[in-house]
Amino acid sequence: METGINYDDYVLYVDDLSLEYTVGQKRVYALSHITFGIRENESIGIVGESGCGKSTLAMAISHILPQNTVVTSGKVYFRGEVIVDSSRGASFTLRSSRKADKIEESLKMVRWKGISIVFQGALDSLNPLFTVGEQMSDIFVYRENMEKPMAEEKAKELLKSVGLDEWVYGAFPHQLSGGMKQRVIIAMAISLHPSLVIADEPTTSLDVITQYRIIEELRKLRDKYSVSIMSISHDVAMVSNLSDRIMVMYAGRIVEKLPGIDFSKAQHPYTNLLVNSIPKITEDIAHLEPITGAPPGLTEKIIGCPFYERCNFSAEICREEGSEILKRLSGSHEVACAVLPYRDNTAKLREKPADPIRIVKAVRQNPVIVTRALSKSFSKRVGLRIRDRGKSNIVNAVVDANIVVNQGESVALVGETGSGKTTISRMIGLLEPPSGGKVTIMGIDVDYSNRKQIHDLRKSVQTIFQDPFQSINPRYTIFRAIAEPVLINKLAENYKELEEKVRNAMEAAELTPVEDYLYKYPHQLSGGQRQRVSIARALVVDPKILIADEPISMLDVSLRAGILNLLKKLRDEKGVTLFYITHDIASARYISDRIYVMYKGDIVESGTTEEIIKNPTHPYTMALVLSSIGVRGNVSETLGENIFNQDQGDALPPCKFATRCFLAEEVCFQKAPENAETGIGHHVRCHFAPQLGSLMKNNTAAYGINMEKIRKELRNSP
Amino acid sequence: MGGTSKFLILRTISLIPTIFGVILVTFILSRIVPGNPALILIGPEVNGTELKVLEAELGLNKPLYVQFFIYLWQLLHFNLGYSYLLGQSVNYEVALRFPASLELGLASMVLSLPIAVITGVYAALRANKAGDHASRVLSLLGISMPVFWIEIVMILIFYTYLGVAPAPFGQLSANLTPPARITGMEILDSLLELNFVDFFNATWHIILPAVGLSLASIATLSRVIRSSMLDVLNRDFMRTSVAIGLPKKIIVNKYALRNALLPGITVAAIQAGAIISGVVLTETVFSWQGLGLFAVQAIDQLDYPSVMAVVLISGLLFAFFNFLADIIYAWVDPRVRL
Repeated sequence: METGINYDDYVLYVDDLSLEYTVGQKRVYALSHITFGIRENESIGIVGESGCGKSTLAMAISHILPQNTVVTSGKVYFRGEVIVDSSRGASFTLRSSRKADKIEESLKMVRWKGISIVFQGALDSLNPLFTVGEQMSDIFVYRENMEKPMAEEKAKELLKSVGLDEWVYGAFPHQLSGGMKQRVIIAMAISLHPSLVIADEPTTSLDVITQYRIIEELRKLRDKYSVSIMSISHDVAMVSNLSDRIMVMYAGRIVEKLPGIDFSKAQHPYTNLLVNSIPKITEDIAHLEPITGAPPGLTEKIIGCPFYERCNFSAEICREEGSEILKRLSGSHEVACAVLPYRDNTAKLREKPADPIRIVKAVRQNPVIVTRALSKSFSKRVGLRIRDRGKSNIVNAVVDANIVVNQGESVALVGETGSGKTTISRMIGLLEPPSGGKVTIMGIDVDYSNRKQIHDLRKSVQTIFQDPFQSINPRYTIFRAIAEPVLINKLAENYKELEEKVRNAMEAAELTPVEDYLYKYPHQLSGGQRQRVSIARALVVDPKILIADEPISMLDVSLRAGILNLLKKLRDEKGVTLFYITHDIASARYISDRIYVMYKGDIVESGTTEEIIKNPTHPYTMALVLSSIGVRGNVSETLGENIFNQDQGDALPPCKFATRCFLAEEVCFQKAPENAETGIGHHVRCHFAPQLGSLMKNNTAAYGINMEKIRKELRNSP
Repeated sequence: MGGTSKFLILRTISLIPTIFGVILVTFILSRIVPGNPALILIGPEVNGTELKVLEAELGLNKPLYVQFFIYLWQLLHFNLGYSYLLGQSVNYEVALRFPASLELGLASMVLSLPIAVITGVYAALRANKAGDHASRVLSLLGISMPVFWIEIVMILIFYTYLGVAPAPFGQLSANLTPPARITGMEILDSLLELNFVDFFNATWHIILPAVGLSLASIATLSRVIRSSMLDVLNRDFMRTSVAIGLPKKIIVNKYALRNALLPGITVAAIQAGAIISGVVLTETVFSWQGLGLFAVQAIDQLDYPSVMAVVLISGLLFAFFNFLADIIYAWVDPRVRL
């Protein structure tokens, strides 16, 4: 609580806000003594893991928490007016009562006209039963008493302002892609010209390039309407891209307020660990440091520093009351760390000597996975339905994919949603037969109709799936779940042998001490632990090849590094060959020796990780790399507006990327490009591959890709 | 939208195998039931040749599939057969009695749907408060008590003790002249005739059976609406609507309700089946001169053509209500019409 604050200076001022909610008999201390302010046209970012209270904070400010929440201390001011305090609460009810109606009445000018909120739109933020247009125009009809036709006009204007076509107005949410839905929600958020827009995980679950577009959209909105933005995410890069300054939340508290967006100035051990646990595309990181343990459950009041248990620097003083309070370091930099004055900052956090970076030359060693012209097409027709005449009902998910993975290598397959990467993983993982081409695993040509052969091969090829919550039978104990493959394959003579195998697999997957987990059920474990169970279940048959299909995308940020490190260790120490499927090129850089990039069923570029990251040659790879760097620049400025042109329907030109490409010329719309080799083991499927290849070689700083320069030089070259 | 008409056409086409299935099952049921219809007609003291003659006359000596095609052929001509026991074509009896049952069934649906929706939404908005608990207890009672028992208790209270309900005998007081037969539904006919005495009397008569018949459906349906409404209220888009500051009425009655109704539509169609079977019991309790009472009598007398007719009509009605539910579902939920 600071004195002498003029709340009118701030668009929003949260003063010592604490909040609790009750679930059954349990009380959860969701927010503790949160204090911060947002000024006019300022953009602040809040980062933290899931469960740290950042969404609760957003909903408290918007006054939309459920009824089981109680404000236990503090106030929230919007332009000097109190909107949240202990008597008004921060919740909403659809039930009518005199008190609730009075509070609602007083919030009339705050709701959407003062503060609007952009939820994670790809999921469920739009009502599925009403057209986008109706939901948008209803805002004007019911909030501005506008006539329907005029509201319609306004809604269409808004859609246009976020770059959406007019047909979107009459579309239902399920007809739109994730990125389009998110833009609709952004358009809705600015509809009543609020002073503050809260963006709660606005880019989560979108593809990298789409994420970038949403950030650009939000930034544009900020400049155009001069609104303040409060963005909330677990994605450090995204938040720093959008914000002027950053706050870090942990266990319902703000543990650090950074003066800007430079995380290298961060002082709180948690902030440092959080940033260091994320693979970055711009740095060669030999070893990521995962944060050990899990965040506290918040069902008990924590005395002292909430990060105590997981911190490398913790001392007795951290357990004393008051150590959790933010202290001013300099100017606007505040940190809640009691040991900070005594800490040796030069030691920083990386005590381990960095492992040497593994550089693998693209030499043919001993191929264990080889695919030749691998293809898969699906029929769109489902059940009893009349065919659309003239329209193709076949979707080509994978077209002529040639992939080679050598023994002991880790190879990443990178692509966005719908690129066909999971389809490939299912074919190589022996879960689905291809519709064309051939798969050879450890020298055996796979015959998908030969059940015995498949059964035998599955012992060597194991898959880890994306969703650790659904890929383990909830009624099995951990022991039973991991023992399953052994039992099916009859690999154990007796119970003792079975138990030994399970224990070894669990130890290899770092599920230790084993006794703690053996007889637990999946729901008693965290997401990271469950993913380790999946890994142990794969390891129990001692496979030669491990296919990991987005193994970390559903896990919390702080847990991801642990899983990546485990996979790396398995490769290095057990010699397991790793086929890693991901949408995140940065994590591919961390874990893989070579990378294949997929776009709409085609492999457009392949090469060593080094080559792909430093000399991305296919324009699509350039876009991927640029978007994941997340520098403050415009992807669209560098690679042209068309790069965002992803919602183009089924009819694709021969070069499928042509409609989005800044280099596209007539030839791209006439014939499909061939695969060209631009360096040793570096293949690019582009008409301009040879020229681009030599251009990118000289362009050592790939991150400074300059569209104009490339274009010019391309024109000059023969 | 082209998709919508396509959906309608396809859904209608898919009704054909359903109808065929209902007919087939009806036929098979009537043939696997023990007992020889000819024997029942003619009585036990009969000699073999006479029985053979009658069997031939009824077509019972033909192979089963031929019998089935004859049955099918009759149905195609809207001929439900001839009941020797009644000395009547079944069509005549059905035409006479079906409207009364339809009237009862419709009345109970008209009663149950809105009440179920309103109580369901009310209970959801007041989840875990007194009103919700009360509705839960009432629902449990409604679901667990047999229809006929509730109805007998209702007669006891409202007719015997309180005397506010009419005697449970038929659709109209005996001293009144029924309205001219137009639709066969007396409430509608009396209204068309502007015979308000009959109209009020008929309405008075239908209240008790319709309420008794609808209680179970109200209970089931309101529970479904309550739980789906609770689910909807926790969805993200509801938070969006609240944050936008839309009026509560719009949020609940427009944005939430439409989502909450989806599972209700499916359940309502299944409840139509419960009402159809409930009609049989209710008509018996209230001596309601409908198809249900007719069915009970026909079963008693092993009057095969009549029983088959009633079973067939119930089956078709049930198929029709599910068809209707699918259409309504598609109309409410755009994701279904592809």
